[in-house]
Amino acid sequence: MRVRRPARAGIVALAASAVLSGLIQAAPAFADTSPPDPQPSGSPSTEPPTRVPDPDKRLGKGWKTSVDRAVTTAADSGGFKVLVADSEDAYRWRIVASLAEPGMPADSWIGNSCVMDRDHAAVVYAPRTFTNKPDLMQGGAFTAVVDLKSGRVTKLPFTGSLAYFDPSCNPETRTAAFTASRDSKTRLLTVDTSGRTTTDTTVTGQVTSAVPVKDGLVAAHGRHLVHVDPADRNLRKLAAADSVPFDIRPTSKGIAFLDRSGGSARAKLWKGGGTPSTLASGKLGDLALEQGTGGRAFLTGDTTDAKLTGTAVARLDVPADTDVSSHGRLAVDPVLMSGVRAGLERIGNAGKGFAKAEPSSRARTSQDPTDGDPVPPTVTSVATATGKKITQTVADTTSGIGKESFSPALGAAGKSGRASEKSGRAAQAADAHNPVDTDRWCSIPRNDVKALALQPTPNQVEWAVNMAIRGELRSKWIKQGGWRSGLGTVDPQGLFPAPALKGGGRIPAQVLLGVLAQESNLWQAEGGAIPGQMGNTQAAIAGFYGHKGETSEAYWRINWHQSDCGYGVGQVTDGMRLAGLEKPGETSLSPAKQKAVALDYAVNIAASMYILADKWNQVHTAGQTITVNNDDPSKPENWFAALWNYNLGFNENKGDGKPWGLGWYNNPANPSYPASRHPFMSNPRDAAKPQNWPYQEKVMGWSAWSMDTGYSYSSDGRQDWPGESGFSSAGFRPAWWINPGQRDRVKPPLDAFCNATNNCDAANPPDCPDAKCYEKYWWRGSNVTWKPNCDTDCGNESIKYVTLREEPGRGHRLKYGTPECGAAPAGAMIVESVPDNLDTYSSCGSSGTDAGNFQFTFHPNPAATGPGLGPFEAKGDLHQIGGGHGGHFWYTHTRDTAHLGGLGGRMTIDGTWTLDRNVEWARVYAHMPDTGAHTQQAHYMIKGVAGGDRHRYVNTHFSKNTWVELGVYRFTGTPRVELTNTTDDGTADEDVAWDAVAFQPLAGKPKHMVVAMGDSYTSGEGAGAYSPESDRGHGKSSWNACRRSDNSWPRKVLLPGQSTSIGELSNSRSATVDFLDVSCSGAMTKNVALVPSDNNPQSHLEGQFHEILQTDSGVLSSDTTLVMLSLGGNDEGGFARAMQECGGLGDCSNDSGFLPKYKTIVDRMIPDLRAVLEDIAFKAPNAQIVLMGYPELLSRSVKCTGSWYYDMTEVKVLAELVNYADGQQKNMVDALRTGALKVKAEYANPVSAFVGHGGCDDPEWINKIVIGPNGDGDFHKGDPAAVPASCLWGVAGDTCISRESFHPKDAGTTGYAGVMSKRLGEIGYKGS
Amino acid sequence: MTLETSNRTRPFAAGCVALIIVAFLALATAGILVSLAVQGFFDRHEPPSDEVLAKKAGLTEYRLRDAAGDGSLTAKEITYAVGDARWSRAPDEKAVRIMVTYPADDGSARGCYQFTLQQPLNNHTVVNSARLADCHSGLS
Repeated sequence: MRVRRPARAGIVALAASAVLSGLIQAAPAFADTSPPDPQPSGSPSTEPPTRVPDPDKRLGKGWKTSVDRAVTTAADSGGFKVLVADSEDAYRWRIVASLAEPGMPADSWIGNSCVMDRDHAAVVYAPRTFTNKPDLMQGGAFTAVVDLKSGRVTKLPFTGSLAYFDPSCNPETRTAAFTASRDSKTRLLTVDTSGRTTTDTTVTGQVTSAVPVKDGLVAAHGRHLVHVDPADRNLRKLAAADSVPFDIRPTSKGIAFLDRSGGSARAKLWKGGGTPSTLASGKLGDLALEQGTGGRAFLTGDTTDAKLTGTAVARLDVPADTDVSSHGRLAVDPVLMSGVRAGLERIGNAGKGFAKAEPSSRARTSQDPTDGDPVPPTVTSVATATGKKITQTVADTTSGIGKESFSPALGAAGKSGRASEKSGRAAQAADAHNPVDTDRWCSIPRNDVKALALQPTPNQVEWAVNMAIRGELRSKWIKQGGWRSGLGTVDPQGLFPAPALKGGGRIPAQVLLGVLAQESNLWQAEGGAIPGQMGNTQAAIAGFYGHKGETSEAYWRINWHQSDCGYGVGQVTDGMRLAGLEKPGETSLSPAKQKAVALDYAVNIAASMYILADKWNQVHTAGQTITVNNDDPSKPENWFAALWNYNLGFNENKGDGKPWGLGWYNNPANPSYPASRHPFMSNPRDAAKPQNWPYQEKVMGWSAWSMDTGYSYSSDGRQDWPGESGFSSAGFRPAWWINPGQRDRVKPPLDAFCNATNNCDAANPPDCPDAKCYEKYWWRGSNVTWKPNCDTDCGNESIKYVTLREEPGRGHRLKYGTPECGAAPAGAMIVESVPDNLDTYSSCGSSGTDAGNFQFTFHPNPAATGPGLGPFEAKGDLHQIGGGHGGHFWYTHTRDTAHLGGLGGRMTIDGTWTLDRNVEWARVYAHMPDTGAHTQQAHYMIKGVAGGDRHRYVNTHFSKNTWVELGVYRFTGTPRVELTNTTDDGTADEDVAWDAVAFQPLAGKPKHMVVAMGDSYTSGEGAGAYSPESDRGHGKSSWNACRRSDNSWPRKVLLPGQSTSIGELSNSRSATVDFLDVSCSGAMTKNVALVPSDNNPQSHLEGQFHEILQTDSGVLSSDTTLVMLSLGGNDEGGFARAMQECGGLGDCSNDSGFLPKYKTIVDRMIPDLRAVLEDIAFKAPNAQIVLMGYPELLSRSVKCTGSWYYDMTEVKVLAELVNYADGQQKNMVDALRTGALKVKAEYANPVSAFVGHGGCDDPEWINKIVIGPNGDGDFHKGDPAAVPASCLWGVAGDTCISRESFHPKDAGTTGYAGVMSKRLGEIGYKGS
Repeated sequence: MTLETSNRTRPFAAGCVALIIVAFLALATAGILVSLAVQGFFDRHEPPSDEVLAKKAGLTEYRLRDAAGDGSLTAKEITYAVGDARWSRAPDEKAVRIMVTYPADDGSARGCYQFTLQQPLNNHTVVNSARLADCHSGLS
């Protein structure tokens, strides 16, 4: 779609001319607006620009004509982001795709990408936790090709590895190579830009860094550069190297690659024969090769001896870890999104004396963990032509593409999963109404209202670790009762005694904390629960249900026999299956222990420590000892082998002469990890690329640099909110070293675990044809030392809770998540989402007795039959949280039929509240929790209603605990309310919540059942006090700017016979008046009802956002007595474009074509408006419809500084246009009323009431220009929907012209209400 | 020695002129910004050309229905209903069929519609419209 851009080129000159000619009488003044928000929701004024400012200076010559394109990626909780920026657009960054699998849980999505050609990138992506599972890491990641122009994502039907080299692209062949390693074989696939697989080859051994070339692939195999011929699977050695070649880049002059030699790297070029020539050298990690276009590669990093003449390798003086643009004009630093659990940025002094760390300025702004919308990230880069450093904000973050369909690698539904051979226990009959998986194999159920886990604060976790390592995590320090009531007297280290380490000593706090950080983000409950809240236990959902990313034919298919049953903060698996269904060699813990491990973080930590100690002891057992440095267990480095074991397991020495030791996968020498990597988390952005480090290096990194949890709590549990003094979001104290250099050496040298014993040579890794071959590469050296003076050079733990003390307080005073207890509409009967008298362990106490019951309905997958399979897959995406009304609600994700939702869909969940008594007339409410309710089109069905079931769609994203009215209904049957997770826009990434429902009995039908709908003039745009669900998320995909105001004119109307306004009566839940408002700022006719000219959405979903068509929202019925609306002014942008034309420096009143053009637009609007009114009349046949017109905006008699850009002659022409529109609307309404349909429609004309109150009049009822942003949904600088020119005020502080401009003020809506009140009297409206 | 009676280092008039120029430039800058911002604020994506075409057809349908209310449909009424489009009529005993070719202009796609009004015409007449895949020849 072409964006209308009036000829602005001359505007500046014209404006200057106008100034000189005296058109401008005085400096512009602006309309007074509502007082500024004391806590502005807008971006801070320091937000960097979206485009590179002053590009001539910063980007160098030719930026405007260059076709250079920069592509980078960013990990994020909502999806793996692909960002694109073009030179010709001054590198304005936009997120073109967000890759995730619908509904698949992930604390963050990570991945890699490469650029295939100008318009296509190849991507692998996966949840972060895939890096904890070797099989998923090596071949379970999802793959896709992204169209960088359109954002279209083609998901590929195979999975790949997350290794740093995967995928690799060749822009000359316009193909990408993906790698997957399994069973000692490497699968190499190449795809073209359409996503078509062009070659698919499996070769024996570990082949890395494969990149496509014209006749196959070039890759690294051992210390050789090899050619892979897809036809015969032969590996042909091309050249020998010192070590495993990496950064392999095909160029027009040969194959460039990096070669490691000790601690240095050499860039080499193999020209098709002979020995590769050395092009440059540098320190390992400080040199990199990047693929360019046109047969070129770029050498980045530090080198002093580059000899690149005659090669196709160009030198760029930029850091080695940057993403270089296609033509090398921009080098982009790694991007960190706010949704990723980053490292701490300010840990000075090698961690010594660490006290606290404040979040960076880019830290998350929302503390609602269920809100996946990203905060626009900042991108830093270097312009290579000038060397200038550039900082920008990403302009367009609204892309949701890439989450909208499942990867075909997940397969289609209906195919059979593998049935278990094991049938140790006959599966219990699964229940279609019970959220608990009664047929599970893991011991402690999810979704059991009696099995809730507390989400601990970071303080609580650190305290438990500090106590446990000293053997003091005992009952006397534990706060018993409360949420622990169902666990009896909890004695964590009574259940799991402090383990003795062979050789003495104990586990350093930071090692255990590092494990917990890597395993669970320090979460005992599911991620939707805020520290302090109760929630489902953190049972890795894939592990609980046996979902397998790389092998499952459908992700949500349940394979109980594959359940690994990891629970809680340490993801404890051992003994956590149900008795009789254990894994081979496993013995189930007692049910009481299982429950405590699953629900109590302190017990879980005790169990985790027990397991970790066991891993240490395994490698300290005679005959299989593996020690590190001086083997002092108080030193974090010395846990390297035990952590390796913790993740991968240990191949024990059975004394039979066969190999034993630690597996090859986690060996630092494994070429799956970049040889050039620095210590994990030494850069806070490393959290976005965890796949580049083996497990134990990640744990070491967390130990040394800690993590930013995004939350801050005092020891008594009081939450500190961002911006408050004392805010510190550090997850725990990091360990400390004597100096930063020694801290960096927490990571061992690459070949530390290679010697003659295990035949490993880091320079020449294994070339194995089968798994057995790898056995000889298991590490089994008795000692590895890389810090000979470990006493001084190794790290030291830092104990926060030095003095033994009682458990820190549970999180409270939560910014989000504090439940609402008891408050309900007066006289209302409440039906909760939990059974009676259930203690949800929130601050609300027991649920008490309510007035009915709640029941879920799940729909089976008919293909899921057989042992070990489960039919009710949707339970896997159901979650419970200790918030909302009474301290409990459920939530899942919205889905359409393409996302396994829809009527009876496998992932469809229906929840029904049933009142246990009969009522006739009742007003029905649904309670919205402040987290976990995001969908803008929650579909409620009210049942038992006279005349049949009634539908009601509600925007639920209030971010506060509140009751939302569904409507007033006459029940003739059992009153029931059903809510489904099926929505029209359900792509499995928006939350929908089942909380409480309330029925407020009424003596009879309210005399007035009033509905407001239409556009901004009805919603109250301009009058402030907007309802939160309708004023949020600027710049995000969930943007909603309907901006329904508490000060809107429909709320101020005095109905005949009433002395109190509709709004006040509605607030007091009057029995006389019912009021529902679905109006929306920016709405055109097509956003209100189906219209003849079609219902294509507006750009950025303006005017409707994600809400349902207003007339389809369910607010209209035969009970409706009055519908008030204003509508039509936005159609074809009519009024706005007329204002734009006259606001320019020409004189629109002199343009003879001006009025005819805009009157024609008005004419074309009328039929659609009539269709809207006819639809309203059809759905509310007994209602009086009153269409309100528009006023003249600017004074015809008074000129003021705020309207200097409109001549009086122009004001007159604009007024004529308004009056024409009003006249046409009136004619249409009159025709409807008198025509064949006899629609009860009337027209109200506000023009005369506004005479003397237009812009510049006194008193003034209409805003002129209002400087915003005023509200979170208002235009903000950088928003995709905000025209940049309207944000020119950035020079004065990053502000934009507000949506409130040229809309009625609070006084104006009062005036409007008077017009309507008068008109209702004139037409004799009396209600029912 | 001359007593200095003023600390002014340049003529009063020069300073005043400079001040005026600065103020004037500031005003001009503000004026330019306001002008650009107002223009930007009202900038709207043009509606899809097919939507404008559909709106044209909707207007024709609306006007034809109005015009048919009195029991007749004159050429003048049809011309008014179709605006700047070309049209032809194919009346028969059961219905009036009007083919209209809308030109591509003013953001609208080119396209053809057929409007059908069942006989007899009166104020209950329903107008059915359908977009045609191809435009017919012989339009007036």
